[in-house]
Amino acid sequence: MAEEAEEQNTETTRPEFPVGRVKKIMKLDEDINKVTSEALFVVSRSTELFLRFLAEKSAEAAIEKKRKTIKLGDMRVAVKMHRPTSDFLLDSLPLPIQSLDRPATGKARSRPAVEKPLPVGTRRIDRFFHKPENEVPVEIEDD
Amino acid sequence: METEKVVPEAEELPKTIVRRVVKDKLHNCSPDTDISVHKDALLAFCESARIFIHYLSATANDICKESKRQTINAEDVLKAIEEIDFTEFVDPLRDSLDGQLTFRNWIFIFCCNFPAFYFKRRNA
Repeated sequence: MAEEAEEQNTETTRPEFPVGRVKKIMKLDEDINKVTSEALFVVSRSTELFLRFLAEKSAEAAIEKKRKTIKLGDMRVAVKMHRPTSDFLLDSLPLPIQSLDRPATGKARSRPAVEKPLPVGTRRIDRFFHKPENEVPVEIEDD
Repeated sequence: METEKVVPEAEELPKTIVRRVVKDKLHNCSPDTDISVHKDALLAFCESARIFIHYLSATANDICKESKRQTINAEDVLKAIEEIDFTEFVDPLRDSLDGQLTFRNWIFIFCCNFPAFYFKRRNA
């Protein structure tokens, strides 16, 4: 009995995603009130699956270019090729030629010209990237 | 990083965990090849995961509100997964969820019965 519990422990509670951190990120959305622990688990696991998917596709793009290091450009290729991912992520990925800028600050200047019609029950991701009023202004150092 | 972070560190996924997940998958895909991740790409993975969490949560929240509920449950999230066209995740997620629930049930039963088990074993 104890052995079975041990097995299930390693299979189902893999220490992959810090659930508390996922919850904090979710709670940044003021519209979200309460979340069941199962829902939180599904979100965490989904994010893990998404990361694994993105990693695989990015690696394929790198290997295509005969490289063994995944770079930003490979991620862009991977995102562009998968429509569900590009729907919400392509605008936020920094361009490889510029230094990595926080997508939240970069959002203001890279708005798509054409607004795609939203699927039912969704809203634009850029709603999340409005700066709160009481935030300290970002200082950018010039090199 | 030379630029100030807009989002505090506490509201990001830890880089070490993101790196571990990515490297684990890369190792599974190509066990013979050692694929590494450039540091800018790793940051982009972290950010992508964070955006995904927001995107999925918001979709699940809308589905939940449509049902006139206040608390997002697992089914809302699973429907949201389909909504955002990541249908291939649904089956693995259901499997994980079933396993998770079974584990928690087991722990609950164990805790309830532990005194009984303990005394049974002592008297055996």
